Amino acid sequence: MEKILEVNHLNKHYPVKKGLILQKEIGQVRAVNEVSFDLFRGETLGIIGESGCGKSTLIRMLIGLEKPTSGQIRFLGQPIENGMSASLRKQMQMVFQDPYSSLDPRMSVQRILEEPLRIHCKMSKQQKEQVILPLLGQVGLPREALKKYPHEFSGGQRQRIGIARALVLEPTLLLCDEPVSALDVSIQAQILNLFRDLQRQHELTLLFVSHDMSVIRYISDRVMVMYLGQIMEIATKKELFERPLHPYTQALMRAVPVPDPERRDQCAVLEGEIPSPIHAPKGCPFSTRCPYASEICRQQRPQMHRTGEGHLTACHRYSGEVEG
Amino acid sequence: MKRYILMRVLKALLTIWAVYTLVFFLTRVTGDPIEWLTIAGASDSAKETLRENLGLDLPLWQQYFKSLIGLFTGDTGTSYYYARPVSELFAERIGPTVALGSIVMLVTVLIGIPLGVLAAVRHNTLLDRATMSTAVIGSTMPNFVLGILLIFIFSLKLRLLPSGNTGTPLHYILPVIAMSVGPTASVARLTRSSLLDVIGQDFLDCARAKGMREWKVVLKHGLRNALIPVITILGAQLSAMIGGSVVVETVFAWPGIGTLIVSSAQQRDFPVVVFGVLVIAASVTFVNLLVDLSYGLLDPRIRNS
Repeated sequence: MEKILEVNHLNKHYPVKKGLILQKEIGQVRAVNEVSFDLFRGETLGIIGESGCGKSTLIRMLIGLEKPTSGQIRFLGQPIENGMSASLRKQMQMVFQDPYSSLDPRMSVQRILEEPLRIHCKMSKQQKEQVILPLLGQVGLPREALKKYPHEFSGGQRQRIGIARALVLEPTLLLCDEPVSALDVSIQAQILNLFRDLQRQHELTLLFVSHDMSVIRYISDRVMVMYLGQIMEIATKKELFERPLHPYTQALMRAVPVPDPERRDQCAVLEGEIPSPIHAPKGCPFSTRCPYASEICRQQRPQMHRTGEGHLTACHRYSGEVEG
Repeated sequence: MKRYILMRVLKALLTIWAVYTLVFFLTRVTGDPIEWLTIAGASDSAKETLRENLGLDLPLWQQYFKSLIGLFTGDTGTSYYYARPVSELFAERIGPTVALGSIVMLVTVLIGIPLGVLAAVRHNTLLDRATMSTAVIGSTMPNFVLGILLIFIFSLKLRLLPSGNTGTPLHYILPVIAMSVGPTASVARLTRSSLLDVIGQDFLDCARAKGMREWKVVLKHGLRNALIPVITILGAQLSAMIGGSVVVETVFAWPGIGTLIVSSAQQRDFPVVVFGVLVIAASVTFVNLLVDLSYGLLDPRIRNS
């Protein structure tokens, strides 16, 4: 399978400053720390993790809204960590989390959808309509929507507009930053199905961020678990949900409520809080809350270990396995 | 929408009428104009003749209705002091006032908005802090104090610029500075804070992610959304300026309607004062009306409701 995106040792550190005039750097927030993964054409990679674990920062670096502190990103074979050309930019688009603030309230839907074309291609009015009208149908909006303004739509409809806008340029890769978390549950399912249909129609590769296990389970082919800016575990969906290996992944699975009063005792919640990313633990980031943590976990950052077919786990418990 | 505009126009007319009536009766409290117009020791019969000629012998309510009906028939009355139609006096004086006001407005928009944008884009840098602290000083300094200060420095001490009256473009410099510093500072501050609100929103990031140039992102998506409160304050500043011109024109001996109204008030030249206040009230209400109507053009959310 063709690799669309290769991410190697990607880091994003924010300096923490103190002082009113002469600001002094007193530490660093390691929002994304040594993240490496590949993305293959046509698949959906789900990224899951608690809020503040670096999911959004990762996505923002991929699309060029944030500059990485260090590391490499290759998109369609070309390095993009220092910005990308217009032709490459067309191939990667993004759907935002909040459908309320991601649409310019002063633009009609038509102008919102035409804008990407205006930036990237020279097209006549008819040509633009030929691109936009079928898309509007595919995302399930009527033709009359073109003349309306964002405030006249509901949250779900607005997210449909946001999705159509991202697809106008026919991208290869679609980055979705929690695209359903701001929507009602009933609408979430509709939008998730829409993503699936569109993925088939447009042969899209999806990078799908969420903090909702059931959403990730529904949409993903492979799943990446993040904690405090680091990857804890990557595996195919089936493998991860049937055989979660990292203690953090296991804890996440147990935290999902089960709609069965008989199995109430199985829902165990992790002790303690996420450590502040300014004072991240020296060794494994999860060592402060991990029930199996030993001395080595507190001292040394675990490497990614290959623990199965396409299954990588960053945990010292699997250090006997081959390094990935 | 039509009904809304009609209602607003009716309300505006009602406001102007109320101001007119109030000022008409208030001026009469300031004293007897005959004392001003006659030399000391004039005979009583001469005073009575003058009173009859000016129509001041009639009961107050008759004077009021006479002048009100006159307004509707295009008769603005005759100045007691200049003995000429009031409309003629204003026609002569309105030019300098409008010229000064337009330049001040232009300066406010052309300096205030870019300054605010710059401060917002360079948020929390030295430039931002310097601009905003200057703006606080600028917006709190009354324009007549600034005017007198400017005259003191540039006319009296340095002898660089004329202290008053019109004639050359140089004459405009000091009054324009005195009148535009306050509005410019307010507009810059508001543009900055309003733009900062918008800049945090996702649709700007989205435009960037689509590959739009940064300055275009800020101007097209940012500023256009940030302008609504700025337009409001511009309208308010314009209203304040029309009223405030009375003071600044006096400081700079500017031959506009402001000085005319002030001198007429001192001379108890009632028809001129009443008409002058009417003109100012009408301009202020008109500006406010324009501001309200412009919201619809700027914001589709207001347009439909």
